[in-house]
Amino acid sequence: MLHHDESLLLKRAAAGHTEAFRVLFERHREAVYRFAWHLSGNSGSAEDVTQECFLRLVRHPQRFDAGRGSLRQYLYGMVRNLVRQHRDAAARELPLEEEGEPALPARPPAWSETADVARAVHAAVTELPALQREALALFEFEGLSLEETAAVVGADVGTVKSRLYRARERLRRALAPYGKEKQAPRSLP
Amino acid sequence: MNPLNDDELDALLRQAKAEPPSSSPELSARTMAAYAGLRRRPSGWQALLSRPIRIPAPAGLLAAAALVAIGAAAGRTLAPPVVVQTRNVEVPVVQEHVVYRDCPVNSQTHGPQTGGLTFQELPPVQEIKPRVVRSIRDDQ
Repeated sequence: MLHHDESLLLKRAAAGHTEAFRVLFERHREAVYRFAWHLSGNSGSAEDVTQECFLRLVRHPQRFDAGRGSLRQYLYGMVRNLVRQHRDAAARELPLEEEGEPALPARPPAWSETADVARAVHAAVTELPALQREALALFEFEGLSLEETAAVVGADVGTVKSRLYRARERLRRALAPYGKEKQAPRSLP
Repeated sequence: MNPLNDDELDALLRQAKAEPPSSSPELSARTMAAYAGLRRRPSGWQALLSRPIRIPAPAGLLAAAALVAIGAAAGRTLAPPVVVQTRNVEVPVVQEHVVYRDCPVNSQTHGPQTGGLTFQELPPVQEIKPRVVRSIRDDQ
């Protein structure tokens, strides 16, 4: 029912109905932005990806097949591709003088100024390898099932389970200073 | 430092989920403006020129092949012709003439038949009538 409703909204938005586009945008905006943020670790890039994602959606509405999954899943797939494209483009645009210098890890703003646990967790997630990060973001933060996560990342369920396990192992170590028994959480080294 | 156990990690992830990163208020306005720009229909010639045309794959392939052929032909036509400088010279040539001669029909051999000639075929003359065609005095 929701799939049918979203397909209809998408058709109307693609035909130029601003209100239909607004409904779709407001319904999925935060999820799309959140996933883009977890993948890119950068709010500016996440916003660019979010905007581009919705514009592409209405530019090519026929590419969405409701029979293959929900619109939300389709949008996650688009975010995944767009973040990869943005990362590749950014890598190409590096000035020659900076070649050879170590790349700075993507950290959220004000990471070192706050001991906020939520920020620490999000930052630790952005430090994960890309495939583990996207699996964890979809499964833990976006609430997708293992099957849905596997469909979005284009892998089988066993592979997703393995990535999740490795991601959690890394987080266990990275977030060790924030365990219950620790009185004063510290920022990560 | 000991790594977290499952419960501790889940608790931290729940905390993080409760405070998700949120987009700026400008994102909505920016995206709606971009959508409005996207939907703004071009008018007149712009609409006509920017209108996509669907071409069936076989026709497209045929057109591509035709373009390649035309390009190749044009390349050949446009190539500068090879100019060879010449001068007129006199070349001695031995011309051959065809000569017709009557030959006996029943002759089996070809070529001159002097080997088989006998005096029987040349009977003696009956009468000799000498005639002076030119005199030595004529030269004097």
